[in-house]
Parts: sequence; structure tokens; C-alpha cells
Amino acid sequence: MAKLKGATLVEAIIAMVIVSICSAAFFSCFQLVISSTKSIRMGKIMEQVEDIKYKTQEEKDFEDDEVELGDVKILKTVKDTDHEKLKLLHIEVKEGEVLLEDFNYFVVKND
Amino acid sequence: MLRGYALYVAIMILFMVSLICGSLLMLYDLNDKEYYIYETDRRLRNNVESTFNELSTAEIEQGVIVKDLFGEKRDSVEMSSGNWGMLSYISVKAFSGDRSRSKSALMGPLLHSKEEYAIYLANSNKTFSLCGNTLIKGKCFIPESGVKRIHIDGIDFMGDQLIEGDQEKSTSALPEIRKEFTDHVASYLQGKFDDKDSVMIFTGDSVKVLRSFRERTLVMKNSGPMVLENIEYRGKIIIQASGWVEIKNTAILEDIVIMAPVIFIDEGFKGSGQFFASDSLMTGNDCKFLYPSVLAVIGIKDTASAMLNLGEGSKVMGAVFNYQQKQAVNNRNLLSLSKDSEVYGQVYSNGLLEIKGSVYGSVVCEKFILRTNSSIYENHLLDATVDISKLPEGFIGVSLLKENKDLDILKWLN
Repeated sequence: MAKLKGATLVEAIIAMVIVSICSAAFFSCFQLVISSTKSIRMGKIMEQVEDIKYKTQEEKDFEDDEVELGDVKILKTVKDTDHEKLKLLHIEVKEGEVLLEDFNYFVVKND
Repeated sequence: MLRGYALYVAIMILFMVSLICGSLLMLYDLNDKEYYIYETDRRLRNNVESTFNELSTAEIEQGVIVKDLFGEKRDSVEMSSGNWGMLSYISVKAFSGDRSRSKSALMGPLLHSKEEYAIYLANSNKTFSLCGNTLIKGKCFIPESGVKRIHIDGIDFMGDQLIEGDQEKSTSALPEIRKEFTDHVASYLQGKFDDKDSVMIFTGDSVKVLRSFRERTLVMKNSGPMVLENIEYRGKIIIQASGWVEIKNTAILEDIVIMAPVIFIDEGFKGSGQFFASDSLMTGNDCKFLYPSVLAVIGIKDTASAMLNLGEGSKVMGAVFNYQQKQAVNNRNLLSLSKDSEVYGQVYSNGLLEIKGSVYGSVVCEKFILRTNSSIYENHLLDATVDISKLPEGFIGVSLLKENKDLDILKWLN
């Protein structure tokens, strides 16, 4: 029968510390990557925003609007400009009171 | 003998976990950068589109302009504009940090088929007379003496209604032409060019020339007559000739401008472009001038009678016009649309206009002329069609008249 030579206590403790640090580092990194799905979520929200922009432009929907996507609110406002045929579409994406994104877009109002 | 090697195993695990963690961190960083690029590009794309939307409601300023688009000091765009023949050329570049997005387009006025008129015939106290199988559909501005049916060479007017649309009195003056465009073309017809143009002598060696609209205008000059055959020219190219130009049907042309005193276009030609002559322009039969095309004679001398003839069965999508800058007393420029020819868009002549084919759009002229075997008649139409209701919805024309204001995108450019 082969003899199994045990490691020293010091060796075993150092190994345990190394493995613990490794585990901690791995979970931190994993958490970080998981949190990056925020950008995926924002991507989905921006798809909705593009849809609102498209409807405003193509379907001539110039009414102010508010869309809720879970905790996120998309606020649409349409303002007049110096030219009667040109409207300014302003969109804000908010999570609670925090402004996540906002942008402007000129829309032509053709009859 | 087998040993535990706990420390070695732990170090191996450390190494492997480091690799995995490193990969995860890189993935995170990449994802973050990708999202930033995607978001920036989306904002830039929106800014470019917004600029074009704004330009469609405003007078376009010539030259290069950098502006803060929404007045919030975070969306900057650079616009450069100029004339491309009878069209406006616009290039918009939105930028943020080191990223930018640009788009170029040809723009022209939106012709509303419901608002536009089918015919504007200047008031010359000559009655507007219709004969044969003539169809006029749309609002018409006609001389004070009105419109009547007439009998010519044994042919009577065959329709039920003379004009299917409202009638209003015209004035003796035609709607004002946009001189900034015709003067620009006339200067090239006189051999001048812009300082920013790249000028080269036409040798005929280049069989294929593609010029992007982001580059400077390529002016190919030629003294004396020239024949364009078996060539492919596309993009921002002006061919400027001091002699006559013959365009064979083997030439492939797209978006280019040709300027010469006399232009002949061979039978069966197919392509798009703007063709400007100072003396005469003749096309063969069955030519197809694809959208957007312009056939024009701009008379720069007051002595000559400018002549433009669209051949039988030929088709133009865009505009055909004959404009004499200075009208001499006895000389009348003539624009003739032959039998079975079709024009979708605008037709203008500040001299005489002969229609034997069809115009699906708007016609503006000083006088109609009808030439038969037996006689010549003024303000008469025989077997002609002018129907603005068949103009496609949202048709973008050329900037010919001052009243054509609402610009829209005619064609996106490379």
C-alpha cells in the first residue's frame, strides 16, 4: 500500500488562505460581470425610446407621453420651435429621481 | 510514494482563477466600451437625422457651418452645403470626442401634387386652345382670354372637359426662377469653376471614374468636341466642354453633371445626371433619364435661340427646362417634347414649349407652340397630356422656381 505523506500544517493553512482569496476574487469578478447586464437593460430601454421616436416622427404623434418599464420611466415631451413645421422631441429616461439618459431630436411635422 | 502537495495544488488553483478572473474583467471592460460606443453612435446618428430634419424647414446657408444643434452645448454638428447643378448638396457631420458620423444627401423641393399647379401659361392675350386627345388634369393658371376647344386639320377636341381642375388667371410674368442655381450653372457653362474644385484635362483614358460626394468636385475640362462612350462615371464629377458633346448609349453615367454648348444624347441611352447646354440639347429616341435627372438649356447669349428636344419615347424623371437669361426680341428659345415622350416632374420654358407627349407634373411656359404640316399655332395643344395627379406622392423635384421652398432629401449619397 502506497504511503500518503501529509502536508505540514503551515502548508495546509497557506493553501487554504490562497484558495479563500481565489474564491473571493472570483466571486467579485463574477458579480462585476453580472452587474454589466445593466447596459443590456439600458439597451432594451433605448430600444423603447427609439420606438417612441419613430412613432413621433412617422405617425405624427406629438402628444406628451410617459411610459413605465419597471422602475424606469420614459418621459416624452414635444416642444414648438421657431418654425411651425419643426418640433423638438425631448426624451428623458429616469429611475426614481435619477436621470439615466436624455436626448433631443428634431421632428418635421408634415401635413 | 504519494504526497499531498497542498500548496502546489493551491497555487495551481490561484493561477487558474487568475486567468478566469482576468478574462471576466476583460469581458466587463469590453462590454462597457461597446455600450459606450453604441450609445455615442446612436446619439450621433440622431443628431445627423435631426440636422437634416431642421434643414428641410430652413433656408440652406452655403459653405461650412459648425453649430450647437439644440443650444445645450453638447451636440455639435458640422454642415457643408453647395449647389450640385440644380440641386442642393448637403453633408452633415456630428461628432463627440474622437467619434463622428456623417451623411450626405442631395436635396430638392417637395412637390405636393395637391398644392402644385399643372400648367402656368403666361398671360399673352392669346386664348389657350385644346385639340385632339388632349388631357389636362390639375389646377391651371391660364391667360385672361380663357381656354377653348378647337378644330385643327380635321381633328376636334375629344375629351369631355377641357381642364379637369380649377382655373385661375395668369399674369404676364412667369413664376420667378431661382437665379442662384441658374447663375451657378451658367458660370460653369462659361468655362469658370470654383477654387475648391479639382480640375483636370479630360483625356478619355479613364474608363471608370467613381468620385465620392465627400471629396472635392472633380472637373474634367475639354476643349473641342468630345464623345463619351464605353465609360462609367459616377458621383461628384463635372464634365465641362467648350465644344459639342456626344453621349453614346454605352456610357454609364450616375449623378454627374455635363456642361457644354451643344449636347447630343444617343438613342437608347439610360442613366441619371444633369445635362446643361448653352445652345442646344437633343436626345435620341427611347432614352431613359433616371431619377434624379435634369435636361436643360440655359441660354447665356442674347443672340442665339436655345433649343431643347426630347426624343420620341424618351422618359425623364426630374426636370426639363429651357431658360434664356436675356430674351432677344426676335429669338425664342424652344423646348420640344416629342411624341410618346414622358416627363415626371417639372417642365419650364421662358420661351416656347411644344408638347406632343405627356407631362406628369408641372408645366410653366411663356407660350405653347404647335407645329403641324400645314401651319404653326400659338398656345395650342394637340394630343398632349399634362396630369399632375399622376406625380408620385412625396416627389422631390429640383430647385427651379423660387416658390419651391420646402426642401427634402432626394437621394442619400456615398
